[in-house]
Amino acid sequence: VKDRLQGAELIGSGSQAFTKVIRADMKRWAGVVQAAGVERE
Amino acid sequence: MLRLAAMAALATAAFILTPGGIAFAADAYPARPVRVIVPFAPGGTSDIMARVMSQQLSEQLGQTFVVDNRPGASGFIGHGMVAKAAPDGYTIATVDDGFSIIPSVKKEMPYDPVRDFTFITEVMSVPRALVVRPSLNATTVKEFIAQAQASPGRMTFASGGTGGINHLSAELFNLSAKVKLIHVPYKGAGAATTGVLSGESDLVIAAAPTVVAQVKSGKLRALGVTTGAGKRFAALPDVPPSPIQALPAWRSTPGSGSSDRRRCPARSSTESTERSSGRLPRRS
Repeated sequence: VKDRLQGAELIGSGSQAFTKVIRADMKRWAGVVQAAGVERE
Repeated sequence: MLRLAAMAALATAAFILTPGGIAFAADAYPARPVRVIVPFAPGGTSDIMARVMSQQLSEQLGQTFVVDNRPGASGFIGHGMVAKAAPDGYTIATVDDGFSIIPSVKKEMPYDPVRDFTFITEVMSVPRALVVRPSLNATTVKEFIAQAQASPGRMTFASGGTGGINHLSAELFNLSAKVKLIHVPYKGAGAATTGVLSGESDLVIAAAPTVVAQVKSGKLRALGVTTGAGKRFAALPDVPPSPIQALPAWRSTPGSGSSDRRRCPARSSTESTERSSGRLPRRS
């Protein structure tokens, strides 16, 4: 267990901040998918 | 230490979310076992994180938090179960980067990734490592990029499958470094790393803790880690931070299913974390 979590950085953000992170990540990955030409399955 | 810090942070998160009050009586939650769905097979980082947290919550709250592995279909099975569960705080789940990627790579979604869930807290971030086969003539990210730019379309990267985090991380690397590594999909992240170990592929961007042993033994060469500028990954202190700052670290978070935010499970988490942080008495 210790090995698999080594280097982990605790975040502990609030729910609102976390929701913003999810939305931002979705937007970012959508851009990467589009730019890289990854086809939807 | 790690677990307690995470729980205290969770309490803060819940307070922010529920300024209007708590829907559950202070002593009511959890009144029965809580199901913690991990949408991946046992043994992965999400699974380990869930088990560490569940054990701590069980000890602190006197109620069992049961990890329930529901792997398959890119997380659809497990997260779909959470989306359909009653929004009462008794079915929660872990989320990782793939949760944010899937809507972009799937034509049809069995749930709305934002509306159908209440996100409790982002627990931790694990750095990623850019690792290459040792026979490659590159010892830094800069040298690797130079080689890739000199031989467009001839160098490869391995992934655990199309649309996964290490696939898109490498595509982001392609875009950021202005190179064109060819995608070689494998069946799972472990197989992708093995593909680089065997020399079939040139590079994989993997969760750093999963490649420490191979890097230390010389079977893989780590060119950089996504710890951010100025930071080092303690397990591989000689590996510099990646100069490609756009690459994300791996994230793992607990989320919970709810279609009604007024009854979101995060309120239950408030109770849980209040106790774990010592503000409310523990159950005997």
